[in-house]
Amino acid sequence: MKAIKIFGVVLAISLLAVVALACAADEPSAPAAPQAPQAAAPAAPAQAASQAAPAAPQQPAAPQAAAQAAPAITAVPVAPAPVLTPPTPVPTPAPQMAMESDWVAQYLASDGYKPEWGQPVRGNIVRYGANLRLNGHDPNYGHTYEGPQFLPTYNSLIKFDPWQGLTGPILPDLATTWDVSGDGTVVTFTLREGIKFQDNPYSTLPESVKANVMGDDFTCEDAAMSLNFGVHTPQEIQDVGVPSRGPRIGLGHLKEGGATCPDGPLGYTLRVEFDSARAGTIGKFAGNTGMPHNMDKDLIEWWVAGCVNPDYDESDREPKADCFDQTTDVTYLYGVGTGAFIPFERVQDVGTKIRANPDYWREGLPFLEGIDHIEIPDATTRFTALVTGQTDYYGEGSASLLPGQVEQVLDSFADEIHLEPVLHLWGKGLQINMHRPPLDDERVRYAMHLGIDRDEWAEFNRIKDLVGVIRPTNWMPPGTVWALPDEELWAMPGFRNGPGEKAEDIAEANRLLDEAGLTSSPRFKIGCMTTPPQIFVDGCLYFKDQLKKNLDIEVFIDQVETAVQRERGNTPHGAPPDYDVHYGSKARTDVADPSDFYNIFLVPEHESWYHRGTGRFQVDAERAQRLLDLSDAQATELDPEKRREIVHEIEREVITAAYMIPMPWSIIWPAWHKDVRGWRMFNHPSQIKWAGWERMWLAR
Amino acid sequence: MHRYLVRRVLFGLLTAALVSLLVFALMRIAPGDVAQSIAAQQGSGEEGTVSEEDLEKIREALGLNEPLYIQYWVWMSGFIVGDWGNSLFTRRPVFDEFKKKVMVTIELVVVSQIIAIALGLPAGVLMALKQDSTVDYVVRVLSLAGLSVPSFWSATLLLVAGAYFFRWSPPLGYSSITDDFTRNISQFIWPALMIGYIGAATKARMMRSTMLEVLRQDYIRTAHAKGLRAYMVTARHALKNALIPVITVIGITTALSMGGSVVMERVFTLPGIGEYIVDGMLERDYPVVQSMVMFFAVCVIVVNMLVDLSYGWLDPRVRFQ
Repeated sequence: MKAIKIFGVVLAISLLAVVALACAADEPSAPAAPQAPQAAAPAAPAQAASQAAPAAPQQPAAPQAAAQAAPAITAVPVAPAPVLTPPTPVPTPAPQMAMESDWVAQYLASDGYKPEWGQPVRGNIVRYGANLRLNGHDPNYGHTYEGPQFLPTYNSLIKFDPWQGLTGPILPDLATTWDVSGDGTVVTFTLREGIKFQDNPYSTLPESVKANVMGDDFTCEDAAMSLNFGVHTPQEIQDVGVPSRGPRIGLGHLKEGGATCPDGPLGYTLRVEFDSARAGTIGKFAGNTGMPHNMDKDLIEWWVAGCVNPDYDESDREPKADCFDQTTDVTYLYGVGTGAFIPFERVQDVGTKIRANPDYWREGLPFLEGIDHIEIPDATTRFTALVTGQTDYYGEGSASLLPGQVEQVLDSFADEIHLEPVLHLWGKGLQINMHRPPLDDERVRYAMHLGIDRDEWAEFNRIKDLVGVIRPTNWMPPGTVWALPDEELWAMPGFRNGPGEKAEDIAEANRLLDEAGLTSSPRFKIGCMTTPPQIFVDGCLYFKDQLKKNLDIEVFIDQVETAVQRERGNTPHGAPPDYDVHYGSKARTDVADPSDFYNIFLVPEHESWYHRGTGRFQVDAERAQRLLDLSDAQATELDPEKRREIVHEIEREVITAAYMIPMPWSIIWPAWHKDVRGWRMFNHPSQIKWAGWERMWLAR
Repeated sequence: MHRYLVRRVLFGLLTAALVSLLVFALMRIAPGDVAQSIAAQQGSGEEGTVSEEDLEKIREALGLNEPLYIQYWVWMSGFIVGDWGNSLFTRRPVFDEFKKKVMVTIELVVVSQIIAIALGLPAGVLMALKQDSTVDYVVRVLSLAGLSVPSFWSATLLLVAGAYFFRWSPPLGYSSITDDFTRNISQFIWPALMIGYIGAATKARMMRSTMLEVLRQDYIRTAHAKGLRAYMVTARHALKNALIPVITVIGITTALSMGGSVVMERVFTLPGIGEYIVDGMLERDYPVVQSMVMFFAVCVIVVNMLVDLSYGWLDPRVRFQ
């Protein structure tokens, strides 16, 4: 017996020792020592101020001299104020900012700078808790989640100010000015001179390619090739899986080979010709999915040659090792741009690292030494990594904090973690399959719209004093000039919530259903298809509850995997999908331009299975065509006021057409450590925010 | 013994063949079209619509239009020689990916089984020796908890409790055992503890019951009567005989821990084959799922075979039979 006791004690001590050893090894390593400020960048700064565009520059805020360390920023106790995006249909030349030679001073004096940030600190590595691994790093595909792993390597021609978002000015990036022809079909960019492509010592490119690409001057031939390639990607490249759909939709009206160099390939004038004028063109250049990222012409040519085997055989699915679409630890280091960061390392299934480009042409930037993207697919692990200081930044987009985690932050980690609730890119809703009776009956669809109480949904989404949705909401992002005014929406049946008004709406909904002959109990039964994430299942549960309670319609939860959802929803063109209603992220915006959504909702050429009005031409071809015509009209209307009127006409019509039932627009909960500075989110934070990495710093 | 061995190997091969047919068929019966998933990832994008022509093109390119028996033959013949095909998505060879990831999973399984055995067997013996005492009850409750609590829950609890009470969470990233032993152990110990706890609970309960049975045998009483020390009786006479059914359980829990590793790898960010197989299943990546499931199946078969063979070592009667 004694021996057993001794054995037990030894075993216990051994295990404790192992655990203690493990704990000791878990101590987070000290942050990298700050680097000395970079010496003067070799690249010449911007063009002379004489080339400044006629538009008045933004009035910069007074610089905050020697600001103290920023005070703690707490989560706002109420939902964020809606953005008031000015209409941007008529492109204007870039507001050239003064003192471009001193980028840091310029940014610290700009409207987007928050005084509580204090002065930038150099060095440090930000650790980003990425929720998805990087499977493709085509820079034209600026994914919300994966984007920060490769987008900071590149520059665009122009961009929204990442400190001000879609409400802020469009700033020059590699282009210093732009000019739009009178008919709106030609945009002429003046490119910045003296910019060189990165010289990345970690690159795995073949030496022959390096020689042609690294340190090469950025000239018109590079910009033209990048644009032509991004928008009119050769079919062979698309066939091997380069997912650059964004530019093809956003700037799809670019003429074939429409980007040219009137001053010669080595010149600095880029002429871009479109088939037709589109009101959102400049916004797309400055935004995300339409923003081609500029690569060296030789790199693109090498890429194409590597991807497209001249003897390409469809049965040959061997990996094209030289492609950008399937990232490996080697191909990740192929990326060469003009941006603030260079690819440094990728370890499959572990993460990627980018490091400061020491020769970045914006002298003094970036502040950070680098960014490590750590793959943490599990939300709880990502959260605990954040609150225990193993990461500095939590996920992105739909993978921002979950409501329960927001509550935990407010309760237990408010001193360490900054929450910045913003309106999501996506608005949730219920897509109706109008091929299926009785959903082909407009009265039935409209009755469902009337019969749900959106206030109950808002209450369901409450986290302490924070409400996780914005209502009322139709398809255009709330608060933008494109959305119907709140007062109009609040007065509309279905959205209104004055005394007795919801009861009236429900009564009207029941009357419509009776009129449609649906008088049995239950009136009818439908499935609500969605995928497993709880935020989606919750939507179907709410829908089920509301329809049963208010309209005596039976709803069952049709929860499926993503692959099954895709198979049942993305039926080949023309074939009816295999669901009744589908709950998910339906409305969307990229650059707060109406075409962001109408293209995929109403335009057959671009429509998305996930969003389209399914069966709209079958149930009412005339109305569907009218909406299509209106969508085209708003896209080509260059007068902002007229465009807004058209958009509002569409918005009113789709409510009664009830192709989809809009839910209150969601708020997401990005979170980061409070010593992350120079970084802010804005409403509808699309991929353009990744341009802000170069201005971020850690106050450590 | 040789005939016994041959018979076990043949049964193992037959089981593997049946598993291969099953997984091949199930992957194709399951709803969800791999061509759709690929189309979504390719030019049409996740949200884009797709034409039937595009889908046919993809199916043709992937060989999915071939008759099923040819697809099966191509896969199985390749599997045996280490050519497991290419992932339908990444187009990288499945075997290459497997080689990169498998050591992580094996290490996790091995460490968790070491913990399970190291905790479970002594606990089971202790409970048997202290039957109906306070120690017995406490350890039984603990082992019952291990059986009742799923590993993903206890893992989540570990993460959340660590963060709340100690501002601590397990280390992120991955270091191989050869690169940084200490860090490697620090990363593996927690998921291994979570899996090992469940395995330990099963083993402890089995150990207790078989030990109690053996301790009541006449030869144990005789050993005590001969004046042998308690340790000798327990360790030499009782334990060895009580271990036979427990070893069967060890085999089963080892196989189960491979399944459990899928969840643990995700929670503790370990780049093993768990995530690989889950991603493959979600996207209907046939070569990945088929090959990984076959690998798991072969592991289970081999472990069980080893368990069967170990009976012969532990109990000479088996050899004679």
